[in-house]
Amino acid sequence: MSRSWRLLTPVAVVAAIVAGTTLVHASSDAPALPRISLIGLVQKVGNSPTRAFSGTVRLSIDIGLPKLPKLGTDGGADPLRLLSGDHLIRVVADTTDGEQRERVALLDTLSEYDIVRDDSELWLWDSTRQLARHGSVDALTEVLLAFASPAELAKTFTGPAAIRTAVFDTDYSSGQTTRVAGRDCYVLRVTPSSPGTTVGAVRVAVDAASGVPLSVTVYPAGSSKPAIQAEFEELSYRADPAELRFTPPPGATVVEEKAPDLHENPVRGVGNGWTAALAMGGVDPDKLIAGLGTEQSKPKAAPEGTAAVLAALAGTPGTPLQSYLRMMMAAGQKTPVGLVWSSRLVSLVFTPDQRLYGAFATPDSLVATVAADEAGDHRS
Amino acid sequence: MITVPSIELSLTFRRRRNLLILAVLALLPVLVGVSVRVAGIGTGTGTGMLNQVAGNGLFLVFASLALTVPLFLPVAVGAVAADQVAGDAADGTLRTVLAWPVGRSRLLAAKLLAAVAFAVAATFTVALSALAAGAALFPMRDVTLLSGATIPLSTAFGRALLIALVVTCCMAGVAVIGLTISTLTDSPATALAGTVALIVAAEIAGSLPQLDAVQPWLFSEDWLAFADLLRTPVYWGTITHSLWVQAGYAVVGASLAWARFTSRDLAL
Repeated sequence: MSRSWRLLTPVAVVAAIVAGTTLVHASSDAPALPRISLIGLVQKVGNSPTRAFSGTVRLSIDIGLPKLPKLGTDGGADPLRLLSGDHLIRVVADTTDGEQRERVALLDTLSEYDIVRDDSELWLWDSTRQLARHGSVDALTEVLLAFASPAELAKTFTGPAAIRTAVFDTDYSSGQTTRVAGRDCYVLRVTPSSPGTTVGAVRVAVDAASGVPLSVTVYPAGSSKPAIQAEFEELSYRADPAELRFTPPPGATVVEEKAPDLHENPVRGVGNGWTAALAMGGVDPDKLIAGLGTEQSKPKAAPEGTAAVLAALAGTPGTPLQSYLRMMMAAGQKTPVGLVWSSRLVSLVFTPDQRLYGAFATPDSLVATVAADEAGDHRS
Repeated sequence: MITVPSIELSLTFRRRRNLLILAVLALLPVLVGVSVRVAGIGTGTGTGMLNQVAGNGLFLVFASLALTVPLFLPVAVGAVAADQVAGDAADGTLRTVLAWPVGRSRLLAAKLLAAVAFAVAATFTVALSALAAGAALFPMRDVTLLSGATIPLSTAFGRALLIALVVTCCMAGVAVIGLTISTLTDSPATALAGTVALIVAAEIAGSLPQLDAVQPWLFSEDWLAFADLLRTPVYWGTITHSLWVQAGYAVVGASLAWARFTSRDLAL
């Protein structure tokens, strides 16, 4: 009896599995949808009647920061890890009764970080430390919440304000269709044509039925590798009210946070169009980095013995993230307006008077924006 | 009635070395529980779940599985599976066994069953020992999920059982891989080293950010996804993916083991 044919069986099985998997993954084809004009599509996004949704989002960030290895991150789920890598996020939002209720949960291995917003009230839940922080919504949280959901992220690029400011130096194109989370979508491609921006193109997939953006991909100028990609993996236009309530569980540490002084450190927009910057006061990078990774209340004991030797050898004590950020700051470029740091998508300027400017713009363009802003300050 | 599967099962579960492995696995959660009870765990150290053991004994089940799933459990399960065929081949019993009036396919199926049964036994040994130690050393109360919501103890028992089943499926995948390697060699040491090396290599590949393109297809990648059962709502995506990946490896491994075991010349 010939037995050699049996050795072909595992090969055939592998081939069948690869073929099957490819077929399943390739089934997200371009659906046939009624034609829509560009204006119609932009209006569809702006006038979307959807007030409630829930789903899971896959978020990939590659703005030029090194990816943190999974081993050696002791902190568990943490919003700062959103700076790079791939993440799974559950988003629930409900604005049906006029109040903004949202839950953004970073689902990490064995841990979770939840941001629960009930209009102006805010809960931050860290499952690793069993720590619930209670405060009010500040500008930084707004930005963070906006980054987690494609629907919100897309508004940055397609929202009424963005369109008003950017319409004169932007090419919009549509005509393609795709499927996201099992829903038929129109594809809107936004290509900035103004000099100075680092954004090469933005691709937004808009649900044909509801007008909600379900996927946003941001390509840096001259690159076909996305810097930001946020896409719903699963979505429903319902929000479970139970998910939008947060009560600190028994046994958890509850910290009441002082409301941040927004009058002293307002976040404001500077400039306009694609190179517009966000500016924030009272930012001391050294203090910020030192504040990461350490416990909220009690200071860490100084290392002793072997630990002290190891800490001295390591040079920069702290978490891998802290080391990365310190390296990032050290690699910054000194200019008359302050320390400039840039990546393939984002540029930041830290001014000597502790202001932080950030923009999707080239360092030169951002420095010019900052200089103009400071000149404006002196005039007034 | 004596059947081939029952013989293989009793061989696996009566071998002194295998019983010793189960005993060590049973001891691990007890050691963790006692050290938490005696020494205490400060907040901010260890895995997040370990922090909660002192307040709730049921967390010893989750923490013990989280601690053993990356290394102890797969190595134990893989070691026993790797011995199934290669061990028999080395001590000469394989020729006797093959003289039984039983087809080689049925014999391999019986060995596969025994290896998978050991995976089930190993996982439940850790889980049940952790449950017993947790109940004896700590209070048992309502469970705070990763999402911050609290579920009653009875529901939490259901979640713990589901978690044990998900881990069992992952370990059954390791058992099939170990058995496959076992059919490729006549030396139990080679089979054992090969299985352990494969597990470690898969985990190292899973921890390197540069290899993220292949990571979703590593059998070890989502072993810790069982914690998704401790969320509200339960997130099934990663668990489902992980189970499909395990099934894929199992089908490929079993077919390779079958092709090798039924076609190779053993009548030396």
